[in-house]
Amino acid sequence: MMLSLNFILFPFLGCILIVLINVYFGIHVIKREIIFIDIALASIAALGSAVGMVLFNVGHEEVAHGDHAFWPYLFSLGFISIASLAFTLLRHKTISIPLEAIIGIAYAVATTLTVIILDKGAGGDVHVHDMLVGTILWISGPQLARLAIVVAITGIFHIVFRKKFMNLTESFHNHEPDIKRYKLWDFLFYFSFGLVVVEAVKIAGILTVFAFLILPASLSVLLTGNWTGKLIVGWLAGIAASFAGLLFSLKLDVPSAPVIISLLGLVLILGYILYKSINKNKPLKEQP
Amino acid sequence: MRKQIISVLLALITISAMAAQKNQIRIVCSFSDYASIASEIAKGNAVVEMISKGESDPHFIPPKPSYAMMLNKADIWITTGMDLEQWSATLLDKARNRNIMDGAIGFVAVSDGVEILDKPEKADRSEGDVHLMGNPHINTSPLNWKIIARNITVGLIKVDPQNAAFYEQNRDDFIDRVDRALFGDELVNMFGGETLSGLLHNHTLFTFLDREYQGRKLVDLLGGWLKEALPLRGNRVIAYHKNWAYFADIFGLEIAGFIEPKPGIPPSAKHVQYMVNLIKEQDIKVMLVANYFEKKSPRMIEDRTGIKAVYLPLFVNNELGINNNFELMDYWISQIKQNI
Amino acid sequence: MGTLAFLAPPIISCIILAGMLSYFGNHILTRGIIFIDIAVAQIAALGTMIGILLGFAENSVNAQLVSYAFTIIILGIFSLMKVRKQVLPQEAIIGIFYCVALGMALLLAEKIQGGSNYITKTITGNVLWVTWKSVFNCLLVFVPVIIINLLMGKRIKEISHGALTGNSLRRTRMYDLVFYITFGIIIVKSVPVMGIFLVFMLLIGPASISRIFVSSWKGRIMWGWLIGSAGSILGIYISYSMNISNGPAIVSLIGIAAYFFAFARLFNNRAGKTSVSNNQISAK
Repeated sequence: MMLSLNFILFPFLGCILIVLINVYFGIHVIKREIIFIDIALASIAALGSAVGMVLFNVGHEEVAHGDHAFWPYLFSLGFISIASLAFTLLRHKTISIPLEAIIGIAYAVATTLTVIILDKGAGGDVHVHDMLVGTILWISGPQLARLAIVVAITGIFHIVFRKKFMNLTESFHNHEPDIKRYKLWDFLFYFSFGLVVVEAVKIAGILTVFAFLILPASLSVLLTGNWTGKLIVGWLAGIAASFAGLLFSLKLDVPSAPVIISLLGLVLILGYILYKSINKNKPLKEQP
Repeated sequence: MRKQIISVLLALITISAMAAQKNQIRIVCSFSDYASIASEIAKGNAVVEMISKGESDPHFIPPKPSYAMMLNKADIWITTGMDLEQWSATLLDKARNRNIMDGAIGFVAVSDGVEILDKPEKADRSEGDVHLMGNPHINTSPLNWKIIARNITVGLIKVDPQNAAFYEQNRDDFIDRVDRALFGDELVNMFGGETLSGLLHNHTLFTFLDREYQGRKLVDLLGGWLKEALPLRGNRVIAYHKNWAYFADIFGLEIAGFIEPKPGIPPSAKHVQYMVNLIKEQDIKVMLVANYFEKKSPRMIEDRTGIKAVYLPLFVNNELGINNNFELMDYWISQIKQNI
Repeated sequence: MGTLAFLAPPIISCIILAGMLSYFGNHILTRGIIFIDIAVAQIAALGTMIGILLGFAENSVNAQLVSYAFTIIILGIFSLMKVRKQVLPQEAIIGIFYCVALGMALLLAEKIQGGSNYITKTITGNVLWVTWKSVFNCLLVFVPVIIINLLMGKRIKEISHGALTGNSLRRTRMYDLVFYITFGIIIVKSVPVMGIFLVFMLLIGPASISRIFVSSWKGRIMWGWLIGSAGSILGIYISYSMNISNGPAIVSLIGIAAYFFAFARLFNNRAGKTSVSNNQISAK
C-alpha cells in the first residue's frame, strides 16, 4: 500500500492542480457554450510547436520528452495568442456563426495543418498520440513544479480579476456587453486558458484535461446556481475522482484517464438523478 | 534427532529456493520478438516480460502503471535502440532505475551492429522520413535475429557473469538453429552458417550457389526458408508501410512502393494516382499490411486496384498461436506464397 | 489512367457528401451542437469495438449492426435529454458523451487487435480510394435519409429554431430522434471512408461561410453545398499539384477560407459599407 501511495503522489498532486484551475474555467466555458475550446487550443498549440520545430530544426525527441524546447514553446504561445485574438474579434453581431463553430474550424485546421507541416518537414504522427493519452502517471518533480507555477500565475490572475471575468461570461451571449474594454478581457481569458492548456496537456494529455474541464463543472451546474457553490462542488468531485481513479488504475493496471472519467461519469449520473428529483417538486411551470 | 534433520533440510530447501529466486534475472523487453529471443538465451535464469504485445501498433502504448513498476525492478531493458520506441523515454524516467538507463549495464540496444537500411541521405528533415536513423523494423530478417541474440547475450553476461558460458552456449544454439532454418541443413554442414550469412548479406549468395558440386548445382541443396521463399524472389509487391524492408532484402522481394510511408499521414492525390498506375502497369498482386493497421483503407485499395492485401502480424503473437520468431517466419512465407 | 477518370469517383463522393452535410450542418449550427459529429464518430467506433469484443469479426455485418445499434441507443438518450429549460447546454452533454466514449475506447483498445484505430484522432481515411461501387453503396443509404428529411424537414427546422412541436415535449423529442438517427447514419457511413476531419469540416465549414452572407434557410443550404463542393475539388487539385496529403488539404483550405471570409466581413462592416443582412428577409 505504501508503495502505491508513493507511486501516485506526484500524479495526484498534478491532478489536483489541473482540477483546481479547470473546474473554474469549466464553469466559464459551459456558460459561454464553447465546450471544445481546450481541445482546439491544444491543437493550435501543437501546430505552433510543429512550426517551431520545423523552422528551427528542433529534434522530435526533445519535444516529445515532456520538456519544452524553447522555440516550439514560444511558437505555441504565439499561435495561441493569434487564436485568442481571432476568437475575441469574431464574436460580433455581424458574424452569425456561433463561436463554438469558429473554434471547431480552428481545431480542424490546426490539426490538419500540423499533419501537412510534419509531413513536409519533420517526424511523423507519434506526437499526436502522445497528446491524447498523456503520461500523468509518469509525471516528474520538475514537471509538477512547472505546472504548479503556471496554475498559480493564472489562478492568481483570475482571483484578482474574477469579477471582471464573471461579468464577461454572464453577458457573453449579449454581443456588445456593457463592460469597458471587454475585448481585452476576452482575449486575456482565452490566452490565460491557453497557457494552462499547453502545460496541462503536455503532462496529462488532452483527454484528461478535457474531462477535468467538463465533467466536474457539469455536475456543479446541475446542482447549484452560485459561483462559489459550483467551484466547491466541482473541486470536491474532481479531487475525489482523481484520488480514487489513480488508486483503481493502479489496482486494475489500466491507464488512469478512463478510470477517472468513469468515476466522474458515475457521479454525474447520480447528480443528474438528484437534479431531476429536486426539480420534480417544483411547480409544473418551472419544471425543465 | 529426526526432527533436527528435518528442520535443517527445510531450512536448506528454503534457502536454496530463495537463492534460486534471487538469481532469476528480470528482463523487460519493448517487443515480443525480443522477449522470445531473450527467453531462448536466458532460459530458466530469467523472467522475461514485454511491454508492447504482439498485436499492438508499436507506436501506441497505453500508459499502464505496471509498466513503470516492471521497469523499476528490471535488471535488463531490451529495446531496439533506434527511435522506434519513443514512448519509452518518459517511462524510463518514471521507473527511476539507474541500471537500465542508456549506457548502464542493463541497457541493451539490439540494433547495435545491424546494418540499417533506408538511412536518409540528407542530414536535415526535408526527406520527411519518420525515422531519422533509418528503418527500425529490424526484426523481420533472420540475419538480424542473430545480431539481436548476440547483443542480448552481451547484456546478460554483463549482469550475470557467472553464467556466461551458459548464455554463450544458448546463443550459439540459437544462431545455429536460425542458420539451419534459413539455409537448410546441407548447406550449413558444408559451409557453415557464418559464411552463408555473409554471402546472403552481400547479395552474392545466389551467384555462389550457381556453382556446381558433385554434379549438381549448389542451389539444389538449399533448404529452409530460403528454399520455401524461392518463388518469391524477384516479385514485386506493395507495402502499406515501411515495415518489411529487411524481410524483402533477404528474400528477394522488391517493394515497388508504399501506400502510407508516414503513419497517420494519408497520401496525396498525386501519390495515390501514382500507386494505382504502378499496381496496374506492373501487375502487382500483393500488398503487405501489418495487422495492426485498420482494415478499411486496405480494403478500399483492393477494390480500387484489384490487389490482394495480405495481413501479417509484425511481431510474435501468442494469441494468434505464433509463439516464437521461427513460427512467425513460417507464417509470413506461407501467407505470401499463397497469394502471390 | 487519365487523371480526370481517376479523380472522378472521389470528386463525386465529395460533392454528394457536401450536399448532405450542408443540410445537416445548417441544423447543427442553428442548434449549437457543433461537435456532435465527432462525438458520433467516436461512439460508433466504440460500438464497433464492443461488437468485436462480443466475438464478431472486424468488418462483419454483425459488428456493424452492433455499432449502429449502440450509436442509435446513445442518440436516443441524447434526444430524451432535451428539456424546455436547458441548465446544461446540449453541447456540454455532447462533450460528456464524447469524453466518456473516448475513455472507454482507450480502455478497450488494448484488448483488440489494432485497437488504436478506433480512437477518433487516428481515424484518417482517404476519399481518393473510393470506387464507383462504393459511391453507389453510399447513395443507397443516403437516399432514404434524404427522403425522410424532406418529409419531416419543416418540423425539424422549427425545432432547430427552438420551437416545440405542437407544444409537446415528447413529439419534439421524437422528431429530434429521427433527425439525429438519420444524421448518425450519414456520419457512420462516411467517416471511415473520408476520415473524421474531412467530414467535420464539410459539416460546419461551408455552412458557416454561407451564413456570413446569406440569411435564408434554403439559400444557406444551397450555398453551403456549392462552397463544400468547390472546396473539395480545389483541395484535391492542390493535393495533386503540390503533393500534399489529400484530406488535410481540403480541410485546411475550407477552414482558412472560412476565417478569411469572416474577417473580410468584419472589416467590411467596420469600413461602414452597407451590411448585407440589412436587406435580406430574415429567416434565421
